[in-house]
Amino acid sequence: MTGPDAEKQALAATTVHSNLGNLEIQFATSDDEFASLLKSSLFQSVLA
Amino acid sequence: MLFRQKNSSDQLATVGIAQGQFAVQEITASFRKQKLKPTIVRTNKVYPLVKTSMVACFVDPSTMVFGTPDAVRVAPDARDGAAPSLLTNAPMMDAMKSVDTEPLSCRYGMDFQHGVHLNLSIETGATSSPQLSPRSSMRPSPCER
Repeated sequence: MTGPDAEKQALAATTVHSNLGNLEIQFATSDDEFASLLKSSLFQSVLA
Repeated sequence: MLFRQKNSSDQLATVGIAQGQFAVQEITASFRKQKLKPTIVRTNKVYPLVKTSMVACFVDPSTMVFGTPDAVRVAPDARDGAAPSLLTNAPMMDAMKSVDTEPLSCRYGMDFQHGVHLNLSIETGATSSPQLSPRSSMRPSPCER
């Protein structure tokens, strides 16, 4: 997989679990990494 | 939230909007202790977040807008009626109406105490009666659909 470090770290920090009809998504990161993620092309393209 | 800063421009800006019960007085006291001076936008105070080069503004006691200075600068404009808001965007409002008819509901919580933590639960309607259970350590902010 190619992409900036901020995007890879964001994907690695995201977990997804499903339990019957309940889908749970959890994400945790540092202040600095979150700031980088907001500026990443992945984040921009997801919201566009 | 992603938006165009000007009608004639393709340049996009991003702001984050966090809702919850914030200890605004304590937070602003901490800013003052760090000698961080806010930029005043009418009655709104926009504070710099030194570690991230972003800024933050409490537009009311339960709503914080954060992002780059240029992006956050226009958020109070929209809230105060000085710039068009989402409510004037007919295509977006129509899209939100269609979402309201879908059998989904979600709850999420965000915690900014140590980095950024997000927990999101989505009820898909695939089973009879799953119960949503936001983490107790989070401030739940319902976004029922």
